[in-house]
Parts: sequence; structure tokens; C-alpha cells
Amino acid sequence: MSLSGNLLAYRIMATIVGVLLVVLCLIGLPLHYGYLVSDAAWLAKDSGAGWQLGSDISEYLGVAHGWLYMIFLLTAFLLSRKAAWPMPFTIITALCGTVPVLSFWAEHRATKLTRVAMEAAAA
Amino acid sequence: MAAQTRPPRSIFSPRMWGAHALVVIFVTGAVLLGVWQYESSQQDKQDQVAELVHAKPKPFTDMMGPNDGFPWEQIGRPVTVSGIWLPEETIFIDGMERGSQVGFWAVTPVLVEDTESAVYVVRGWTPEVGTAPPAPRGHVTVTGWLQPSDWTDVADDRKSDNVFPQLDVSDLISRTSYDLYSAYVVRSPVEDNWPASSMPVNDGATDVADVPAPQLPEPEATTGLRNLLYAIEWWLFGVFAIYVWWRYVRDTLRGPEDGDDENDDENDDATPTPENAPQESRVPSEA
Repeated sequence: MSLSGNLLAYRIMATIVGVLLVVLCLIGLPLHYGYLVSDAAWLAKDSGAGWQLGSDISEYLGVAHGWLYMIFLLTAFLLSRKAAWPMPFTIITALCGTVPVLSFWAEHRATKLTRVAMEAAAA
Repeated sequence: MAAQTRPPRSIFSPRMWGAHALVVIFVTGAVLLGVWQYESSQQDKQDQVAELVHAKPKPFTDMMGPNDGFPWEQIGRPVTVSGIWLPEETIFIDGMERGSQVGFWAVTPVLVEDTESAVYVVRGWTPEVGTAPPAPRGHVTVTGWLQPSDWTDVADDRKSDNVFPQLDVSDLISRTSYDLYSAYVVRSPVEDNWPASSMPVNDGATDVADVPAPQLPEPEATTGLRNLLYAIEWWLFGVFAIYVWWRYVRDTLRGPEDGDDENDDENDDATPTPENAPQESRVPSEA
């Protein structure tokens, strides 16, 4: 795969994983655990519609996210080798894939560094 | 300068220790987290089985008809059998363990209410056939766990008596004049007010010990699946960490001209490879 191919694969996976992570952590978990801080009926454990939605999100999206994160890691690793990222940069980029919202910043930063490497190689 | 950019000579070089430590931490963590998730997935299954074993009993006649095959999806579920004891049909099953003792199951069929068919009910365990309590008579309501007929092909070497090596309904058909259900029921003890809805009546439990159901209900296939998937994921992550570590070690040892990544040596000038490194060859000649 070419460097631009690696970059595209990485960016697609980073976006999918990043969006899922936001849905999972910023929507699913608050709905699922909302009953701990609120008495609202729609958040009530086992009966509230919001609680049910939160449970489904964490049940299905949680598992899906885990597996997609593995694929994301693989694309990030392959790209890091092709684009000759320094090891600390690679590790930070992989770890940031686990933090909601921050994953988008890491993707942006990694894409920028890779583009610089691509231009240097073309020059 | 040259000494710093030269790749480490061996996998044991101090510069490699960081990578070794990291991979050990990652792999240990991944394995332990995987084990933890795997154990919770098994625990979920056990919890569900425990729940099913003490589910609300259903009438036996709702579970199966006299001529039906065994309802496998109902294996181990609590059922309530109502009918009349057939004490003269009592049999004993040999070789049943209870703790360290080997004894017999005392089994008496019940002619099921509103049917012409009988079902064997394991009343309990007894150490000796000779000292077994007399079989119960009269009307009965007993709650127990639905079990399929045994099918292990053990020959009965004493066909004349009422002791059998297994509770195989197809073997027992020939010794009774009653039509038989192709199942049996293991009487369940009353525990913590369970089964409250169908308290036993004349259940034949006198002087026999309780026995557990040999075949437990099956948990749903999806029970614990999420944790199991997480477990596999963690283990895959461990494998991935080993792969990354291996690539790193290999490329670092090989030097920057081959490994095009992870270059903690930032310069791209011709760096001596271990084979032609001047210092290595010079040291012995100076000595």
C-alpha cells in the first residue's frame, strides 16, 4: 500500500473510532448511569427509555468500538512505519484514539506530520 | 556522534530495555484484563443458570405431552408434576454418588393427572436399597428439574430386580405396563421459600437425601458474549503489542537504512552497520 493509501485507511478508521467513542462516552454512558445522579423517570434503571438506549449503546457499540479500535491501531501502526513517525509520536497517537474528542486532534496532528513527510519525499 | 547513532548491538543493550519493559507491561496488562473479562463472561453464565434453576416452576404437562420427544430447550427447568404415586413401580439407580459415598437413587413414577402416562420422579438418594424408605402412595404434587432420559449404554446384568444402572426410559418401558414420558424429574428441595407458588404435597422426600439435577439448564448463547468478546480483544491486543515490539527490536538492531520508521536516530547519513562499524573492528586491533 502506498503512503497515501495508508494515510487514507488510518484517517477513515480514526474518524469511525472517534465518532463511536463520542457516541459511546458522551451519550451512551451518561444515559446508562444517569439514574445515579437523577431521579428522572426516563433515566430509571431497567425501565426508563433513556436508560435502555444507553444500555444498548454500551452493549453493542461498546463491543463494536473495541474491535474497530484494534483495526484502527493496525492502520495507525502501518502508517507510522511508512511515514517514519518517531516512536513517542506513534504511542501518543494510538493512546489518543481512546480519548473522546482528543482522538480528532490526534488524527489531525498525525495527518499533518504525514503530509510533511510526503512533501519532503516528493521534493 | 557516531557512537550515538550506531544501532544497539544486541537485544540486551541498555537502550532496548525501555521497549522490553513496555512490552512486558502491555502484554501482562492485556492478558490479565482478558482473563478478568473472560471470568466475568463465565460468571454471567453461572448467574443465569442459577437463576434458571430457581425459576418459577411450570406445570410438567405444559412442557411436554405423553408422546413428545424431550424438549431440549427446557432441560433442567423446574416443573411441577401432579398425579398419583405408583409405589409398586419403584426402582433404584445404582452407582449414584453423594459426597464420598456411593449409593442409589430412589425413583418412583407418578401417573400424571389427566393423562394415561407416567413419569419417573427421582425422590432422592439412599445408601442401601434394603434400608430405603417405603415408596409413597396417594396423590402428589412435586416440584423438580426436568431431565432427559439417560442414554449411556450400560448393560443391566441383573434384569430380574428393580435396580438399574441408569435411568433409561427406553429400557424401563418393558418392565411396566404404563405408558412412559421420555423424561424424568429430579425432586428439588425447598430452599429459601422456593418454589413458593407450588409447595410440594406428599413429595416422597421422607428419609431420602436431596440430589442435584445432573443436567442444568443451558444459558442463552449470547449471555456473557460481550465480556467474552472483550476478553478476546484484550488478548489480541497483547499479541499486537508483541508484534510492535518485535518489529521495533528488529528494525532498531538492523539500523536506520532498512527500518524506515521509529528512528530515534534522526539523521539519515550513512550510519555504520554492525558489520562494518569501524569502532568494533578497531577495538581488538588496539588491544
